[in-house]
Amino acid sequence: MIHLHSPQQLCPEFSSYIGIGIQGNASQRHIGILFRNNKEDKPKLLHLAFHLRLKCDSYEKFNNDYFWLICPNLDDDEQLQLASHVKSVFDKNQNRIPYGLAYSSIGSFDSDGTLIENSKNLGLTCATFVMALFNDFGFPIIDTDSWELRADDTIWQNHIINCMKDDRKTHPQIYSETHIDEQIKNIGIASRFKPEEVAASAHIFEEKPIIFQEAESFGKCLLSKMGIN
Amino acid sequence: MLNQLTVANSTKTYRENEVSSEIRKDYIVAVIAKGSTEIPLFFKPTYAEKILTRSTSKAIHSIEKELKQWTLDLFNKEETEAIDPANFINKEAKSHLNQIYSYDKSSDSKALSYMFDLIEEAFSKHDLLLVDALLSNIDLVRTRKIVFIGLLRGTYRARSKLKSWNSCALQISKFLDSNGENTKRLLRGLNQFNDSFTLTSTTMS
Repeated sequence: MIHLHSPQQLCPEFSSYIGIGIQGNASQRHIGILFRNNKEDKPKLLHLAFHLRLKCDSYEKFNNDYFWLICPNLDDDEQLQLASHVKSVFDKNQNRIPYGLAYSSIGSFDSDGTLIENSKNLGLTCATFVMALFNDFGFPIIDTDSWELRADDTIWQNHIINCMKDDRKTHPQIYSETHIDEQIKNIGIASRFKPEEVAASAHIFEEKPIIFQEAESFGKCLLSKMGIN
Repeated sequence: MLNQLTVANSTKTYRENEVSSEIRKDYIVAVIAKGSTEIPLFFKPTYAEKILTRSTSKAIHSIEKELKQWTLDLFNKEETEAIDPANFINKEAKSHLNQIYSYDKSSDSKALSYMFDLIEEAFSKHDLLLVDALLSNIDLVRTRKIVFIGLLRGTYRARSKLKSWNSCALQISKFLDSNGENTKRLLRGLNQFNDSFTLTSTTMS
């Protein structure tokens, strides 16, 4: 069952190395990964804010905004490994992760370990970034093959394309000529992994990847606990 | 690649031309390194100091003797291997691993931080050889399981291009088995999409 904590409970209740933070409303949610290398420290929130903007927020910046869950089925060693890995990913890859609609189960990295390059017109969302962090570490939280397309996916995907177009006006230098056009081709084709589904999957994952029906159901439950219907 | 003839000829040149006392360190290095694109790792500053401070023919003779001995060492001991590019990488990997073992003694997360920074840095530079050398050289006895399993997980995403990944995974699996650990649990997820790495029979039981 989903055990969601409210934002105000984070400290001192958060006693793990790893957790999932989620915020938002009915139309848009955002997800990130809570991490720390030392239990005496306050957790930070790593999240893919948008195109080429991987952010690591301090506790003071995010603590009142995010609901959170722990990953109770990862033991302390696994959590500390993942937390250290997450920190290194941020340190070495800030501003290098493109935003995109299509997610491949190979994760966010090419087979030689380098992050997917902007020039390849691929990318991640905030939710698939969290999936990729787990998956590439040997914790495949979601069974991507089981995923189904839904009617409202296209609405969201079009909204994201419009956001990218707006963003390109402000930051034209960070978009390749074809990046947005390539994303448009994914509308109605690419699976959408919703933040609440990824959050719930990371929360309940033990060993077997969570299939679509389970994730969708737990995702709805999580939204309900967030007061979103 | 450094060859024996190069060193032998260099020695001869010193003797015949009675090289002056102004033997410069960089000249020695250049001679020794001839045929190699890198300054040899095995060049010892203490040896250079000796060369720089000697000025008599006796010293030249001594240098010749030492160079001969050094040559013998080069071709008879592990230092010979250091000239091979693969061994440069192994030496670099071992040096990093020694740092990891050292940090790991404190039992906090410093070893993990160092290791994952190293891996991400290597990946960002497409330096798979170094990552592979870490996998092939890690000493499971000298570090805790959180670190060596972390190495396996941190490199998992590139396993198809890391020739040592499977053998390292298998070695770790056997090591954990022999120590009575719950190997299947500890390595969960790491054999999800891997054809050749399978947990040992003990683990699966």
